[in-house]
Formats: sequence, structure tokens, C-alpha cells
Amino acid sequence: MMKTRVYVAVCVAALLALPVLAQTGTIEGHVKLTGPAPANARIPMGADPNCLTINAGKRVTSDIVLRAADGGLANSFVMLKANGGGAAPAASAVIDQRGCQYHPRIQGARVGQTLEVKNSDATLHNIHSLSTKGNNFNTGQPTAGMVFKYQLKAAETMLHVKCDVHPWMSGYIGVANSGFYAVTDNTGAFKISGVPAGKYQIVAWHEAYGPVVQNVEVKANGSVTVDFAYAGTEKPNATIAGLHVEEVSLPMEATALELVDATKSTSR
Amino acid sequence: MSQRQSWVRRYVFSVDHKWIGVQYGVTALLFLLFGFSLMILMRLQLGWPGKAFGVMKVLGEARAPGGILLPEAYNQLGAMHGTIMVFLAIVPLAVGAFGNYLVPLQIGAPDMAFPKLNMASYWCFLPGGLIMLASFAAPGGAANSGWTSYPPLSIIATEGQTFWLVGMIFLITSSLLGSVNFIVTILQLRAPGMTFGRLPFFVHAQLVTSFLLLLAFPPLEAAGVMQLMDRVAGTSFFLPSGLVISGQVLGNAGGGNPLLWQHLFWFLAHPEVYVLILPAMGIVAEVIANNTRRPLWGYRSMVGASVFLGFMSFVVWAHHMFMTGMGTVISAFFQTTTMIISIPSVIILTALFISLWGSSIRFTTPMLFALAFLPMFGIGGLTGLPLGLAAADIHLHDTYYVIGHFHYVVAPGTIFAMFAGIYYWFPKVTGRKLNDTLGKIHFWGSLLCINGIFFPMFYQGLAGVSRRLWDGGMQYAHAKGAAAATNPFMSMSAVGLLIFQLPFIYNFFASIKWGKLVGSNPWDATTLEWAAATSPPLAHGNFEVAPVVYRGPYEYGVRGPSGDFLSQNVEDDAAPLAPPPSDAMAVTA
Repeated sequence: MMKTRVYVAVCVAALLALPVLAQTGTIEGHVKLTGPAPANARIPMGADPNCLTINAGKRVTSDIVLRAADGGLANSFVMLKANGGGAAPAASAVIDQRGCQYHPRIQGARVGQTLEVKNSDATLHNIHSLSTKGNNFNTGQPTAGMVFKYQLKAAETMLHVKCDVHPWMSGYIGVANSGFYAVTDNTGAFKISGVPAGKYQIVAWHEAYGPVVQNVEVKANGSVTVDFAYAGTEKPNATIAGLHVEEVSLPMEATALELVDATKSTSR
Repeated sequence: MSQRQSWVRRYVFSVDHKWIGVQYGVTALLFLLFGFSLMILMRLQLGWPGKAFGVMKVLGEARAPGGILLPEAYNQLGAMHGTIMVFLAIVPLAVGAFGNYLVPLQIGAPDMAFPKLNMASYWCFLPGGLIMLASFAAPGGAANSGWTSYPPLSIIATEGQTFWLVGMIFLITSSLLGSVNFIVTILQLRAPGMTFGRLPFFVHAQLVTSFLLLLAFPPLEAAGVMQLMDRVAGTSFFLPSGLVISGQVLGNAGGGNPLLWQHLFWFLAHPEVYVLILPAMGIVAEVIANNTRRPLWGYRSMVGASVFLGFMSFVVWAHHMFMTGMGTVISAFFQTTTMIISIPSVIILTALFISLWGSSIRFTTPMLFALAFLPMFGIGGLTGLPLGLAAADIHLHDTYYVIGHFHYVVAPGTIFAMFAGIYYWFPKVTGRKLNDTLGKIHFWGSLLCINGIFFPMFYQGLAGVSRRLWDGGMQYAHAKGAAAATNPFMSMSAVGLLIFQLPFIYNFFASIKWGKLVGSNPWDATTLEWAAATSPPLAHGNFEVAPVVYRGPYEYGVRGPSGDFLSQNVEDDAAPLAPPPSDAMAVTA
């Protein structure tokens, strides 16, 4: 990774005789589901009378696949395989247990950032992480208003949390090494800014369809678009497997360098 | 025996059965208080689930943030309350304290057969108990898989469970050492003339109890080691193949069986419940005979029943496992043996009831507790019958009905008998009597409150309130109503019970210093321990003159040299020269 950046920097510096490491670019794009969206199952909450009361009159579904009309897939975690992006933010990444669901269902966070788990329901929730990297916690929150704070220890994509009281409750946190991640909004759009120029691997992950990897080259002061597409037949995989970066020029499929409207919001 | 012993030799590593009995007694009572406190915290949570209590903060921020008890902490309280009460409080008190102190005295022996083994037994018990308590400080807290420690949960549980297993190994070893001692002592060291037919019923009860401990505990010790290995050494005795926990396959699981643990555990734990009740029946028998001033009715039947009970207790264990999917044939076997085992209990209880018939009852404080034991144990025993029938057990298993049943036998049953024993033998140990007024307040308050706690549990269980629920059943629509109607009342009764123990705690300590001084036989009792000096001196043997036994243990209602009774060691021709003094018949309360 570092070698690539140095290589690129030396090349460009030789060309332009200007230092380029301080110049950053933007990656934008969409994650789309080309096929039709499967129906999201209705959640029967009868096991917990409190959840029934809290959701009285509503038909609650397990919102795994949220597909916009044009195919935009929400709740996809997009991450650059890189380091950097400044220090972990002081603000916490918040998961709220509300209406017997996790809000947000998918989010990103940094190693070292605090994860704040809130219980906004007047019922027992249990936040239980199924971590294979050391981000282990499993604690009950019996009353509304309780807050549990946990400092994320290790990078983990994805950290799966679930509630042992309500089996339908499931959430994912992408704990990244870098600040270069985003979650697609309800149009399927994402934007990652401040990326130092260079070549990277970028991966999109969705709860129902697993990871998809592409290569991207970020130019200083430029914006590059990367689009991901799922056919809808992929199988879910909760882990984004480690992939090494190649140093030579990579085939860039379907990339076009174009300026994208920066006013579009890309993170949830 | 050396006359000059160092303080450590005399009071810490004592080999004198009386001091070891006192050590066991004080330690067990402290553990009883600790287990009781855990119960109070549990009942506060059950009565008012999710409410912040200032007192809950003693558990620390991790267990009770802001004073709100977390469900995982409730599990710790539940598991530790059960373990502490059974293994650290009742058995050491009933067997280690009362048994150790009284058995050599009652059989006329100078000490136990193996004094050093006796000391070893206490010094295995104390570290085991401290390890159990230390588990509260372990990361993740104390053991939280129930007092039954069922795998696979107990194997994936937090570190405290390892402490629990190590503690259990110490405690079981302590009981095994003690039981050998009791058996040999009772068989070999009886005074001349003390035939089996002249033994006080208390000694018979202790003998059967010791056989139960000796034969039933080893499987659990082995199972405890096996579970420990499963936890720390990657073995798989109790983990089945293909075990998936939270969506992840457990790597070291394979070839084991969780049911194996259940069998090994209950093979001990059923005889264990008879270990809990037999010494209590022994104490009640002594106190009743003494305070009715009549021999026990049906002494031989009682002895025979307790021996039969001992044998039967080994073939009923799977009535704790009716819901594990056993076939109807084996289920029928265990139902049958369970129904049969109720018979000896009924024989003993009936004999004790009939012993009251036509007698002139002295309502001393020990007698009040002993009298209350009878109906309370009756309720406990009777409510066990539906549990022993598999068809009814389908509905009642793992509900509050079970909790009500076993608490009735143990709490207003055994613990009341323990109190009876404390009030009765306190003058023997200390030379002073416990204050009677405080004793009666303690008795009546405890009786009232304890029924307030446990009687509604039968209703809760029948309504379907499951046990081991952190909120007492409020999360289940079918159980909410029963839980909400009864839990607050039960919890208030528990607080009441706590308040009524305060007179006893004060009485206990104050009477050691300021209690009314009494002679060596303040209750005018017949058994040999009362023939020994008051507060027999340590390390000097028990009797000024080695006793010879001339008669049975309950010669009451006959004209004797000191009153309406004949001590076991008084010769027949020691007839009174004058009528007994009038105050010999008075209520010496």
C-alpha cells in the first residue's frame, strides 16, 4: 500500500515537480441491486408483549434488502482497504434499540472509537456481539434510557451484534482501520472524501449478498466513481476477506473519471 | 493430650470435635447470612423489576449500573444463593456443626475417631467456601449457570464458573472426609451400654446422612473435574458434536453429552436433599422428646424409616429429569420409586406428630421451632408429590412451584430445625441461655414472613411462572398476571423476614456475653451430652467420668434423681430419696 503510494508520488512528482501527498480525492458511486428485491419478512413480535405494545398498529418487517426504484441498494457498507484518515473520532458510533429493532441496522466505525448502545424501549434488550476479533461484549439493558459504552478494540468487518431476547434483531458495524468508509443511503449512493491519491481496493458489502471488491485509483483533487452491482443471487458472507494490493497497473473495469455532484449526501 | 497448646493449635487448627463444631457453626452461619443477603437482592428485583435500588449498588457498576440489576447479574445471584445455601450453609451447619459437636457427646465418646481428619475436613470446607465467594470478583462475575451448573451453558459461561467448580471439589472433599469420620465414630466409639437401640435418633439420622454423603458425592466430584476439564482443557465430556452457539460452531465440542452431567449431578443431588433433611429431623426429634416430657413414639419405626430412606434416595434421582425426553418405561420406574420414598418421610413425620399426643408440651423457643417444622415439612413433602408424577411435572417442572416445594422443606423445614437446635444446644456450648423473649419474636415473625414468601409460589407455578427469570415472569404474557399479583407481596415478606432475623443475630452475640447462666442440664434432658460438663473444655476429653449407658435415650415421665426423667448414664438404683423439687416440672423457658 505504502509502496504504491510512494511509487505514484515519485512518478507524479517527477512529472509535475510538485509534492502530491497532501492532495486528496473523492470516491463516489452507487451500489445497485440489478435483480428484483426479495420481500422482507414480517417480524412476528408476539414473543415479547412489550414489543407488540411498542409497535402497536404497525406492520414491522426485517428490513434486510432495501432497494430503490432504480435499483439503488441501501445499507451497503463501502470501505477502502487502507489506513489513515485521521484519528478515531471522539464522537461515539450510536446504536439505538428502538421499536425492538436496531437503528441504524448497518453503520461504520473506527478502531478505537466508542460504540454507544442505547435502549430506547421499555423492555429488556441484550446487546451481544459475535466477534471473532476481540470486540466481545454481551450485556443486558433492562430499562429504557440505559446506555452501554464499549471502545472498539480491533478492526472487524463486519462486527455482528444481536439481541438474545429478540431473535429478529440483528445489526452490523463495520469497524474500519481507516476513516475511509461509508454506508449507502436509501438511493444506494455513497461518497468517501479525503482519500489520498493512489490505487486502492474498495469493497462493498451487503448483509444479504456479501462482499464485492473493485480496484480504484484516486487522483489528487479529483473524484472517481465506482459502482457496484449485485445480481441478487449472491450468498451472504459476513466477512470481508483480506486481499492484498497489487502494485502494477490494474485493470479498471467500468471506471470513468467524472465530476459528481458533491452535494449528494453519501453517508447515513 | 498436651495441656499446653499454642493459640493456633487450639483455636485455628483444632482437632477437638467441639471446637471444630463451633468453627463449622460460625462459618456456616456467616455463609447463611451471605446467601440470605443475595436472596434479598433477588427479591427486590423480583418484586420491582428494573427499579433502581440504592442497596443494589453494592454489586458494583458492572452488575447494577445506577442501582438497576442487570439480568446477567440476577443469574449470578440465583446460582450463588442456591449453591451457598445448600453447600456452604445448611450441610456444614447440620452435619459439620451439630453433627460434629453432638455425635461424640451423645454416644459417650471422648472425640471423633479421627480428630485430625476432622480438622482437615473443616480446612477443606473453608477454602472451598472462600473460593466460591471469590468468584464474585472474577471477570464476568460469579457462577451464573444455576446451582445445577448444566452444560453446555456452564462450559461456555464466564470465568466465575471455573471458581465454582474448583470450590465444589474442595467442598465435596470436605464432606467425604467428614462422612468417613462420622461412620467410624458411631460404629466404633460408642460408650459401654450404648447399643444401636439406645442411640438418640439424632445419631441415627447423622449415620444415615454420612452414608449418603460418602456414597453419593464421589460421582459429582468426578463430574466436577470433568466439567472443569471441559472448561479449561478443551475436553468434551458434556459437549455434543456439532454444537452451535450463537451461530458459531464450538471448535472443541464433540462426542459428549449434556445429559451425562445431569445424571451425575442428580445422582448426588437427590441424596443431598436427604442430607439436608435428616439431621433436621434428628434435631426436631430430640427437641420434641425433651419438651413433651415423653419418649418418642415409634422410635424403631423412625430409625427403620431413615435407613430405608437412605437406600431409596439412590434410586429416585431422575425425577429431576422427567423433561429430558426419557422413555415412559424408565419414567415409570422413577415415578414409582419417588412415590415409595415418600413413605418413610411420612412415617417419620407421623411418629413425631403422634409423639405430641397427650403430652404436656413445654413451649420453649426450641420447641416452637420444632413444632413449626412439622406442618412446614408436611407442606413441602406433599407438594413434592405432583412433581414426582411425570404427568403433572410436565406443567410444574422449572416453575415456581418447584421453588416453593423445595424451599418449604429447606427453609421453614430444615432452617427452622437448625434454629431449634441453636436455641436448644446453645446452653451446652456456652453455658448460657439465649433470651427467650427475643427468641419468640424471632420465631413468630419468621414463621409469618417465611410463609408469605413461599406459599404464593405454588400459585405462581401453577399459573406458569417459570423459575430463573430475572424479572419474575413479567416478560411473559401468560405469567404476567400471577407474577404482578404476588411478587411485590412476597418481596415485602422477604424484607420482613430480614427484619425478624435481627433479634436473633443480636440475641446470639449478646447472650454469649450476657446470657442467663445455666447448669449443665438446663432442659432436664436425658441424652448423654447433657451429662457432660457445661461447655465441655477443649482438649480434655468430654466427660469427667467415662459414661456407661443403662437405658434408652428418651426415658421421660419417670421418677428420676433430678426430676421427671432418667439420664442415659444414671444407674437404675439411683432412686430419689425425696420427691423431685417442684421446679423440675416448671417451664424452664
